[in-house]
Amino acid sequence: MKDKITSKEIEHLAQLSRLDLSEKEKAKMTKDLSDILDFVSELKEMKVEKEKPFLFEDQINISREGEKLIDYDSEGYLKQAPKRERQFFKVPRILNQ
Amino acid sequence: MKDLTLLNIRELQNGYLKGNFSPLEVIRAYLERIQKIDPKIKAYLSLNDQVLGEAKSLDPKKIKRQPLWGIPFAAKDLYLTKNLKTTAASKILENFIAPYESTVTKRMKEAGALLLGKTNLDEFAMGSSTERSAYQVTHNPWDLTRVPGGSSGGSAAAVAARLALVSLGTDTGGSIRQPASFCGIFGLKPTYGRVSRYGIIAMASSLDQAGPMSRSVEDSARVLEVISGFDANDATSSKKEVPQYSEFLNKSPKGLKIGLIKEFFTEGLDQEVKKAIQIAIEVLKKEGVEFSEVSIPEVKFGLSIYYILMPAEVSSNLARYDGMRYGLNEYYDSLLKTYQLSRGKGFGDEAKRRIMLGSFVLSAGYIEAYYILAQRARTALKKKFEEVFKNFDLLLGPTSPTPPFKIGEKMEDPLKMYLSDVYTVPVNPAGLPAASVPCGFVNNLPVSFQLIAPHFKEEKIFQVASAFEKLNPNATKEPNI
Repeated sequence: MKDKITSKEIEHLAQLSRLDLSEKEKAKMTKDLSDILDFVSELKEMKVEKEKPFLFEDQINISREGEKLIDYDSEGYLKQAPKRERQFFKVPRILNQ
Repeated sequence: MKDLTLLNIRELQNGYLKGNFSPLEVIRAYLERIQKIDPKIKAYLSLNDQVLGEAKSLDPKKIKRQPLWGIPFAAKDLYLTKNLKTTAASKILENFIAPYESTVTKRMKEAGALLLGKTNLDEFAMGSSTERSAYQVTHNPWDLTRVPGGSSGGSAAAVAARLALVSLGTDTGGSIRQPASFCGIFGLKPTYGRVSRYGIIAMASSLDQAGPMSRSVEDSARVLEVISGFDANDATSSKKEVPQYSEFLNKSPKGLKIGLIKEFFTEGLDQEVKKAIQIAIEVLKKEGVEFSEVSIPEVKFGLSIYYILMPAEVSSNLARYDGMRYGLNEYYDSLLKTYQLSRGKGFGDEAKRRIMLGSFVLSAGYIEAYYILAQRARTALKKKFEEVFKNFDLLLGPTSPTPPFKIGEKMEDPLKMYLSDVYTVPVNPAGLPAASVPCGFVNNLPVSFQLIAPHFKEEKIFQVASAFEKLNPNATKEPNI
């Protein structure tokens, strides 16, 4: 476990998280995340190596027939689109980049 | 006529049956009160402008079949409601109108309940004071300079100030129980899987659970009867039968065994809060409840387990806010930049912090040391609770270490804020039901104790909470607003 996080790691995490952060936000984030990681490092004291990682035992692989349960109102969804063209969501180009 | 906002569900329905008043008059009484008092409390983010029409169109023939016929309620603005904005108190969903309805609000409406409006919360339910709402700060009805708790602070304050009869909250680490405690009302987080999560904006899906909040224990029992039960749209909802919780309200708690969690009564707990809870314990002892101390050392690690697992789920759940299909969009020529700008502008500090922390604990090189370790610890915690419940019907501790704190007091230091959930958080990783029960006042500020039950034993909570409520001299005390 770590008890500190570097500003370089913050840059990387912001990239992974798809977050545009200001320099001020990055500085505060470095401090806050370090404080929290320092706090949770107490978990090392718990002797749990033999335990299995948690699962809801009775709720694994729940599946049902692929039947239609809900009537989707597609116009209701499209109305929320920041940008649309006819019945399509309009998004930035992703090819040729 | 008596103030209609003072009546509970049973009293309202008796009045309807006798023709003493109509749902329309009741809704008008609430709307008038909201208009007069909510500018001071700021519990509501939006009001349902159709509610008078909905009250008018209730079918009187259905009153005996609809258990919540004519009952006014408020819902945390995290529940999707068709035709009414749902913002999660976030800028990223500022103008969002959901194309479908959450199962819980749908069941409330099908039972005849009337939605007054949507209540304030910490953005995406992330916080313990409701100060992290992107829109407004909600004030505690008992002291306007203090927070109502959070994240369901709007729902708690609305009920405490009689701006709604009952409300719906959600609880991921204490977000129903802690604000219920701060506002002096009853609030229950049911067993994980008891109530459908379908259509409730997700924070941490393995911990989130919806539940009722009300001034009387009885009203929450009646709401839980309606909202509980299997839902094919939530794969984790349980098929277990739903008991008639209201049948347990008048059952004597004599002979029940309650364990006092030793680790919850040590340093960190305000001495005055401790005293108030000890008085409540004496009251229950006289009713024949048997108390003994029990040690659960694992609960001391509850916050650490929670602050690894919850952010991990947050980082994944909040990935959907990409500005493409709904929500705030800062359109840019590249896709990546559009994501980054939309999310950077749309999310507040706490949401960003949890997304970043979650990305960290799940990232290559750290996932074993953090996420997997916390999942192992979660197993140990759950097992320990199950072992303890072999000897006890319920467990008891404080809900919050302190009475409500001042607005602004904990905003600068995230860890300080997290610590206000120290007694509520351990319950969620174990999936247990737990409630906050008002028991007294310290310097005119509400204090509560917390009851924790084994999985799917909510009725025991109702049994003890209701017995206590009948003997609590403060039960009918009202905030002076």
